[in-house]
Amino acid sequence: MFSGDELKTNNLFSIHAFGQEIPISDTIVMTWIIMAVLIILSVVFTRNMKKIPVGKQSVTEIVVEGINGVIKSTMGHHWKSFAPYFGTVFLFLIVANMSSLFNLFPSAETLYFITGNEYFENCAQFSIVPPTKDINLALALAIISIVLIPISGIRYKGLGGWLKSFLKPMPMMLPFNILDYGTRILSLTLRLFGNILAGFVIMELLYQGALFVKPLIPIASAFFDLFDAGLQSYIFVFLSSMYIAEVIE
Amino acid sequence: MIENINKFQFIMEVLNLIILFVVLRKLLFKPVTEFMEKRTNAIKASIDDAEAQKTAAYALKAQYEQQLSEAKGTMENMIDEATAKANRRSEQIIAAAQEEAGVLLANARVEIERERQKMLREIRVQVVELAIGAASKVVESNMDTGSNKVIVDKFLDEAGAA
Repeated sequence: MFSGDELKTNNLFSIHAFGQEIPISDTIVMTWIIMAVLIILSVVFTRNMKKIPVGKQSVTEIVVEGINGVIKSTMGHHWKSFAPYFGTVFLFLIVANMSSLFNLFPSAETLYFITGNEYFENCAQFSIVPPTKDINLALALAIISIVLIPISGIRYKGLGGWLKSFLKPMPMMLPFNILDYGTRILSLTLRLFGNILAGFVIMELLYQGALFVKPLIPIASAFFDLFDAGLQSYIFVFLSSMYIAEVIE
Repeated sequence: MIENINKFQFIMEVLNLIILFVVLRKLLFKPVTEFMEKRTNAIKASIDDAEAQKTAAYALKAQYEQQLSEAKGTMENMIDEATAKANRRSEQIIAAAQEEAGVLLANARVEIERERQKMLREIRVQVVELAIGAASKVVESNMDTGSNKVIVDKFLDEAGAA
């Protein structure tokens, strides 16, 4: 049941490599599952592309065109080199954030609690956690996006051009611009991680709460698992692409 | 919160994301974007082509219409010319025919006059002979034929003149 320590990740198993013992947490397993789903879907959805889009091809085109459009509107004419990265982040975040939707199905533990059937007690305990509730993933995403800022700045503006971006819009802003690289990592990480963790905790409380809060579950699930999940994905992609656009424009 | 950051998990997640990025770029974003751009270009090219063909067709149409109107003008000119020529020719023919007819008429008149003179002369000769015949019947003996003929001729001339 709810332990009140949802911040912690469960280590399912660990692998030995490079002379180290690497723990594999449930969020990493979830990441692998989501990666597999995305890769399989992109293979299935890009097969047999026809000139006139029908069926699944229309979905593929809407998704790719939509992502390209958002990146085009923020990054301008350099959109082509960045759209695949931000598209990947967006698709991953959408699926990752919304994966908690599957918790609407009762877990084995809950089923045992409700029915008292001993069969469920012996089932493997694995509940679906959105991997973005783990601060490690949120931090990884934020740091990759922030590391991209100097890389793309130097690539498109040269070293001098990138350094000059520290003096914009006026030289007085130099310390704040340097600070930005740290605060942006923090804000991107904590916004994503905090929102998803909060949603997850609230949903867990509702799932395990008293009977009279059960009617709230669909509304809360729609808000936290669908609306907030989609919104956070969009905000993350939008903000990180804005940060890069500021440097390369 | 800070104690939840685990360097192994962090590195694993970074690797996961980079792998996912590389795979999705290769499988999804690049091919689909290229495919859609190719299609956009193809549609653009076919629209441009259709536009150019339409312009060319309009130009051809205008050219043909001009040629048609020119041909119409030429045709009308030719008809007018031919009509005028025919009118002139018919007038010429009629004039020539009238002239010829006039000449023929004049010739015929001259001929008739000549015939008449000839006939008159013959009639006169016969009348003279008849008169002499009759007179010689009347004055059988003393009428010398040669000298009397002159007298009768004279008489007839006077009578004809009268």
